[in-house]
Amino acid sequence: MKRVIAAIAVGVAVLAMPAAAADEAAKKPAATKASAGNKSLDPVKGRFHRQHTQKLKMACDTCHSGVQTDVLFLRKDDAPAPGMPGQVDREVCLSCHMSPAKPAWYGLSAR
Amino acid sequence: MTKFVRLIDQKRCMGCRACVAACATENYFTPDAPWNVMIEYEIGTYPTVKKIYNTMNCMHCENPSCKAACDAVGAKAISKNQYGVVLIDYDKCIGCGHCAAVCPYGVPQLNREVRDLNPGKGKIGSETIALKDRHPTHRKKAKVVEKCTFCWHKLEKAIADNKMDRIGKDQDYTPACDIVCPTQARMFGDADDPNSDVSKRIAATKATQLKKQFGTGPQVYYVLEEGAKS
Repeated sequence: MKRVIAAIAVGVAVLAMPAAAADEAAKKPAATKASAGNKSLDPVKGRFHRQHTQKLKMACDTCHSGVQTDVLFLRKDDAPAPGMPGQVDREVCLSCHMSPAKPAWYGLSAR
Repeated sequence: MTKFVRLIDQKRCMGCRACVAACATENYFTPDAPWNVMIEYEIGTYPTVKKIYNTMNCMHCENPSCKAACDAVGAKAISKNQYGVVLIDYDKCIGCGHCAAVCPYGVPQLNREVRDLNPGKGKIGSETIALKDRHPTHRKKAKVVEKCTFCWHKLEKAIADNKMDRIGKDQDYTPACDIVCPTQARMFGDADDPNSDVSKRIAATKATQLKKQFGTGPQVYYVLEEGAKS
């Protein structure tokens, strides 16, 4: 009987953990442009670019229009040279990262 | 008249990058400012797919947009000589980068810093020659624009030695990238001479230029793989 009660208690605790974590995350201030900092927004070396190209494996063309269609361009590496790619539409980024309905995975690494 | 042109046969190219290495050593181009690169891309859909190897260097255009931009800025550092070779005068270049912005091929490279070609491993190729003894196209300076010169130092030598007929054949008189190609995918010569090897091969292979829509009249011809981008 004790074992059953202990198992139920553990189960309840496990189920409650994500909710508690979500509450904790909700208390944290939302990420803003200012809090991201200039360094992390460095177009090539910064965490922003690394996160999207290396971790998320996003193609250059996802953010820099015209790169994939214009592959015949002399450049020093696979990524287009700084200043050459098209503008990144920040609205695309903000639709995931800044709206109230941002995806549930946001901030997971910070927990 | 003589008009130097290059032919690159994508059907023969195997992407070994010998041309890139030869150019780097011969012309001492630093990693941040390459003169010759190998671009790879895939075409087709599985299971019929193909990899295209497309080396890119300066196209030495008939109507170079880089020169037009440089002239408009007032630097007048870019010139096109009577042999069709487009060259940059490092002493006149102000490093504004306008040429890089307008070239449809992305050729001009702003060299922000003169670095060793092989950091920490000693000097190689043209690096071993004292700056004052180098050809003007090899006298590297920081914050100026560089690009492929068709190995003008070699062509100039051929003209001086009255060995124009050996261009495209002898190592001393032929651009480094063209002479090292192990599959003979590259050819260099005079397009104004209908009997030159390069003229004949351009005609026989129906070689074409890249991005003709820009109207710059490139002097580098490509034998395109089926389905390759142009």
